Amino acid sequence: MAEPKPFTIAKLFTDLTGQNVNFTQILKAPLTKAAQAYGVYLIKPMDSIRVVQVDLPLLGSFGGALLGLPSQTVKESLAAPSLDEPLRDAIHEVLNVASTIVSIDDRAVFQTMHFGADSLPTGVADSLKNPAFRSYFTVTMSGYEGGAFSIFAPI
Amino acid sequence: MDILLVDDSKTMRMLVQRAIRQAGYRGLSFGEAENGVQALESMHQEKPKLVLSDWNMPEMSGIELLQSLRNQGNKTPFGFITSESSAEIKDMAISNGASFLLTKPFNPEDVQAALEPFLEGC
Repeated sequence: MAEPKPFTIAKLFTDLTGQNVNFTQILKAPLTKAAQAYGVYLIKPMDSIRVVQVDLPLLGSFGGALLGLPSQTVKESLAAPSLDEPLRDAIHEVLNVASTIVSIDDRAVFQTMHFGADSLPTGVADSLKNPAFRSYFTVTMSGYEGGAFSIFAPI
Repeated sequence: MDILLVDDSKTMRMLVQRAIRQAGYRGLSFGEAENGVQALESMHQEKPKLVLSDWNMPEMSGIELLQSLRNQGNKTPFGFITSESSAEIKDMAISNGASFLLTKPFNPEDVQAALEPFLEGC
């Protein structure tokens, strides 16, 4: 499987958010204590699955920048008991647009968004423990909180 | 209504409007629909100059909306704004009667280039 290049992913999110975004590929799973969000994608025509796992603060940064929200407002929204609808919708759209870098060779169609591993479909959650493919990145974003971004292809 | 925006994401409908205004089209009026079904209902009431639609949506996708319009003999110019970018999808869009396919993320320059032929004088 062709691996998405850090520069390609960074350009996508820079173009999307209007902020300078940098992706650095790392070899081991990033150490993070942040809450996690997931995007599940259907890869066509094989109908296989691919999963993006992102630190929620980073995903919130992408969504917040899309809406023109300052970093502090994003942090406050993420800390609230429930995510407000505009930011949730923007995060959903960020994961949708990410489908262009989730798969280089084949068509990826964004399916579902999940907050926390507990909310992932059972089969997807199980296969993430020993994926066939994984790609790890640390991400910085000017003016906003960065974090970890990973792509998995379950077995 | 000048442009009907069809996208299940409210955020994206807002961003498209903003990009169109940034492209210099400040006096246009917009209609919005969350999917193809809503778009068809809206187009029974009003006749936009242009439809801008996402590809993947619940209820009725963008390509299904385009096919439905063309099957009804509706020739309203139709463009896709989507995260779909494969050659196969672009070919399917054009062969079904779409005028263009803009890939997300887009900028005002991309939007202006795509819309100019349909919004002359606006």
